[in-house]
Amino acid sequence: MTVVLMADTETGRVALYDEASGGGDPQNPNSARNAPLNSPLSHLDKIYFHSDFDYMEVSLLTTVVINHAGYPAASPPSFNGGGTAMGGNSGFSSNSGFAVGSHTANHLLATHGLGYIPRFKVAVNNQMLPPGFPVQSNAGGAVRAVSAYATTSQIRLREFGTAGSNAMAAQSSTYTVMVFGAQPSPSNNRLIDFNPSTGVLELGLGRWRSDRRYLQVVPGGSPFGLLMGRNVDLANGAARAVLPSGGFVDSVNPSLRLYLLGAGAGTPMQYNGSFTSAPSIQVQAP
Amino acid sequence: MRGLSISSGKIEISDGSRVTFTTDGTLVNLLPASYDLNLSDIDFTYPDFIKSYAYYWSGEHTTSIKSEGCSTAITAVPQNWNNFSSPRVLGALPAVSGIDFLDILVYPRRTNTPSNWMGAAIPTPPQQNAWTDMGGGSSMIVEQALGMARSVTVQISGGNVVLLAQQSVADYPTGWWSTDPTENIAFTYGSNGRGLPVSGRDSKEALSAHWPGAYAFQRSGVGSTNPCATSDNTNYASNWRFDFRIAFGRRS
Repeated sequence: MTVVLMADTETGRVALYDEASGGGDPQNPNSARNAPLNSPLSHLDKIYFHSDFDYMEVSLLTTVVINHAGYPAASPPSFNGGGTAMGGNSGFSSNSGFAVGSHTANHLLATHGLGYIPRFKVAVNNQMLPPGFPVQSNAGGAVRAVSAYATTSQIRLREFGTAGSNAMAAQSSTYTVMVFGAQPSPSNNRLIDFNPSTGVLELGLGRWRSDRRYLQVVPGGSPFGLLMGRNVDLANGAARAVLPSGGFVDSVNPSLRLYLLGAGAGTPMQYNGSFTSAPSIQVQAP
Repeated sequence: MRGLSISSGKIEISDGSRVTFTTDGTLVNLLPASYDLNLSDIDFTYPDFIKSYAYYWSGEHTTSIKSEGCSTAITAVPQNWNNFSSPRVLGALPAVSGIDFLDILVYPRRTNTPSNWMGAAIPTPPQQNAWTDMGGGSSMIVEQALGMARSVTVQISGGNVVLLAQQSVADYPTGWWSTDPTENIAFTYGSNGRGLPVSGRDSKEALSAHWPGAYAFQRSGVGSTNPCATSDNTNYASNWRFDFRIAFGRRS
């Protein structure tokens, strides 16, 4: 397969692509073999780069350590139902601490200052965060989940903790933040330009530059897992979150049991489904 | 090395020791912004749960002790619901062959207040009213409490971008005994069977000096005259509203 780098000054396009079938003059931008240049949407699978497309250019790349505070264990939940008439009740008791949302916090991850809501990715432990990503759990069933969100000037992190039967320890986590700016405006009138003094190659009127970083799928390096589909399943009133790079975290302590007036073996409250994998790819911005 | 090189059957564009791009890999090619799917005020309602009730009754009718009591709770029966067989279609993929990448931002908020669950508002884990990254498609737990959870997923399916929703209620506690409402101590339940107690409904108690006589507080239908209420006064339907910003592209 021939890889072609071609610019067409008539249409103002430049592209790097696999030749299409159909032959024709290799130096003619309008020949069948060069169709990806001027008909990129009909040859998306052949395109490596095209000046018509937008690229997820990293405008801000930073790592930040967040010191997540510890939080206490919870008491075993109970509920009186309608009340305790005649010494009984229509509620339940339990055997293990559990309290959803007993701990919340909010952290600044990065200031991007772009003045608009950008596309962004936040990664921890080589995995890009989906909403509610569990960053910490313990044997007592406590789970600390985080969600990253953007404002017009910042990338922030919401923390939502569920308490279990053991206190959640404090933890320092390192987050990698990537903010992708809007497609740049043209900075020159050249479709292909190389500056020998700086070594910078520019394509597409300067909107793509070799001295910038772009999100891509490429072998080697240090990629992050990025989810491409459903990663949460619910069963028995509980959730399981599958992580981008494999593995999963359940939202409820497997030892938690509910009893009506304390009788019986207790009903398990944990997730009891069979969901174990989610589609994902490995991406990076080298 | 800086610039463009061709060797070993690949093209590399480098910036010193960093390889900005290589034909061994693929940049994420996003379609022009005119192909983006930008949606505002997409409303979705999670249906109310299937419910029943738990009716606790106790009575004493010995010669010297006459007393009676009842307490009721609305219960949510064990259930799993989703819309996977008929998902909410947010929009079609652009008519461009080869799209295999999404970049999704979502702006979620709950627009009603479901009934309290076990005496407290149902927690909402996500940051509401803020733009959250959902990657190339992923899920978000939107509500979670002891014994219940709701989630939303956005992903590609069948040539469309779809919203998948799911909700689940746990099994009921153990410890039910004596479903005969005429026994001295009895639990009975509504027509939908046993469930997880989620909302207190009523409570009555009468000790010997005030005993109404002839077991007035038994469950309705067994000859009682003043049963505890069992009508459902809860509504756990939950309304969520989402904005989406979705870009399409290819990464392979």
